[in-house]
Amino acid sequence: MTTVLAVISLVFVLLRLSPGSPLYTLLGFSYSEEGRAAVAERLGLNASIPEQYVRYLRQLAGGDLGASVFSGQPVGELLAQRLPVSLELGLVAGAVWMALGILAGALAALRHGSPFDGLVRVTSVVALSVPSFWLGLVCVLVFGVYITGVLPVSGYVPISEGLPEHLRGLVLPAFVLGLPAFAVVARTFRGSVLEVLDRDYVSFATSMGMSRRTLLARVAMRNAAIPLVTVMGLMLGMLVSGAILVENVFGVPGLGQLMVDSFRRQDYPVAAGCCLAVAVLYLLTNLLVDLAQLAIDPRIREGVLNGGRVR
Amino acid sequence: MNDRQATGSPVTDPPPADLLTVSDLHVDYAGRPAVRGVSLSLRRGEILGLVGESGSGKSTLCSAITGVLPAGARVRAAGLRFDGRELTELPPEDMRRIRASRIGVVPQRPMTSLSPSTPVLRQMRWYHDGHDLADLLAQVGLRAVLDRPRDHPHRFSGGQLQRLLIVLAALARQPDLLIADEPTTTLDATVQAQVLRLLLDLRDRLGPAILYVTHDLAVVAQICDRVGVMYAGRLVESGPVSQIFTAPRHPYTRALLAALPARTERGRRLGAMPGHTVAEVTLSRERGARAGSAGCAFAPRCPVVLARCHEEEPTPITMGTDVVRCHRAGETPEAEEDA
Repeated sequence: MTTVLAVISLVFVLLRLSPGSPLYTLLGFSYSEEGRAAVAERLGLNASIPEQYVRYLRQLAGGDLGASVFSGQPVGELLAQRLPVSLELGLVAGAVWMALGILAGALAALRHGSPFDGLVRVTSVVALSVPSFWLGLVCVLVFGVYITGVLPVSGYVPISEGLPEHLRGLVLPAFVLGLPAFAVVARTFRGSVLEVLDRDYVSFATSMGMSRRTLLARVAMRNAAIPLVTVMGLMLGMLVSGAILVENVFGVPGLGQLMVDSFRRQDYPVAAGCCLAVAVLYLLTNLLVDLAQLAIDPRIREGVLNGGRVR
Repeated sequence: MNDRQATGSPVTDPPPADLLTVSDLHVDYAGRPAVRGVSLSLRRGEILGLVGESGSGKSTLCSAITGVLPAGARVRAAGLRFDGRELTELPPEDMRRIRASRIGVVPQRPMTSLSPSTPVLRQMRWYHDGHDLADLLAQVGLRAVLDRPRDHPHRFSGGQLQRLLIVLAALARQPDLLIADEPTTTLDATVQAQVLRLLLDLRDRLGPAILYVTHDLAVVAQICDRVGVMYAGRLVESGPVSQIFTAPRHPYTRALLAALPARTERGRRLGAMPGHTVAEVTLSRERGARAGSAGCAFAPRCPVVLARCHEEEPTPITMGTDVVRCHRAGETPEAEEDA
């Protein structure tokens, strides 16, 4: 809750402090002093900044996010339109890429020192160092100019127009968006599997004659997954912020695009609403991570039971 | 089992057949030798103590016998026979089966030897799902574990965990060979005594051969029949405990015994061994010229060193019941004391 309040306040202050005003954009060439005053009056922008802040908070507390300065569309409605698009993109990208990352990391660790291990390591470093907007543009170039007709490089097909087309449109954005998540997850899991295989409990299980397969399933993977959960949570957060760039490159009408547009036009209520949505998403992911860790790591669980954890 | 050996390998000559025979075992970690040419044997019902400082290759020797070595380790041996079977030639699946039923290992660090994310009782059932689990647990005074099905390893003490591991590795499966790799090092003194009693009792009831690795000579004197002293990957002296403790022949063994508090007179300083440990010596040797593998490894620290010791590695000499690797082993201890 405190975090959300901090985010709102920060966004509010930064938006007001940035040069320009939605009034200029709104009025454009028909700008006049009288027009400006009238619009400012209507939008409540002539009040002092602290006054505006208090008014905004009061409005939020009542569950009202305000309305777009330009279209007059309620922010809540805009978010309801855009958020599912982003969520779907992020979850698809995250699920597919992280699953691949886990698989690649585990195999690389089990074939430690093999060519496959080398491939995974090199791929992760490259995937992490390539900026997503550049990779996005390369994809647009490749699939828009050289190999046309295979995958759409822009635009978004709603699910109502057919699932296959809808998914085809998601392929490239999800590819670009999820690649860093793949890299980080593969690297982390490779490292933690290698570390776990070196542990006393693995040697003990081996010395007790447990078969390799059983050992991996019961002992190794389970313990290697503990640090992975944290990283996967961080990556989900990253997918949200990554969406801002990727959605703009591929013309996906999600939260990221809405956010960029609203900031560009200084559409205060919409911009603030977007940030609020992202902050809440982050917090929910964090909560999810904490719960997952609780489920998987008994030591953390006990800490909670004994009241030893400080919030 | 013994008749199988009699029919299976007619060439075995000593009548009371050894359960385990290791001959000329070498283990390298990425080219760095950890065990060099160790030979030893172990009969049923016998407890062989293995002593030596950290890095002398004791644990590696144990791991080589069970075949559970880290990646990058290379094992060479003239022979590694267990109950008539050559372990180095066994397919991995057969070796796994031997580990699962006939060789038990009590690990060095009980606190970290069970998976931290699975309840202890469930892990015990992975290895032993018999109805007698309650009885076995009662034998080590831990029947209460059955009432704690959801407790993970961190809720148990080191001593409790070690007793549970002994149940798994020894009591439940009744192995022919039990390898205990410093099983009491991380435990406090009273728990140590408990664990030792448990092992002795086990030997008396079930009669397995026990390989007991330790730094602790007092423990060796207390429970072992024979003792092997390792230095820098070599078994420098081995023989019956009574023999080694009363008339040690290798200067390293003598120095070890001299450092025992009980043997030092009141008011006299404890004997400290001159020089550096093997790990330090190998390190400095690797940094300097890589030539120094000739000669006795103990020569740099030996109080009775000869010029010959630096050039020529001593071969094992059998003297009565004792096997020694020292150029001066033939001389009487008194003569060396004077030298």
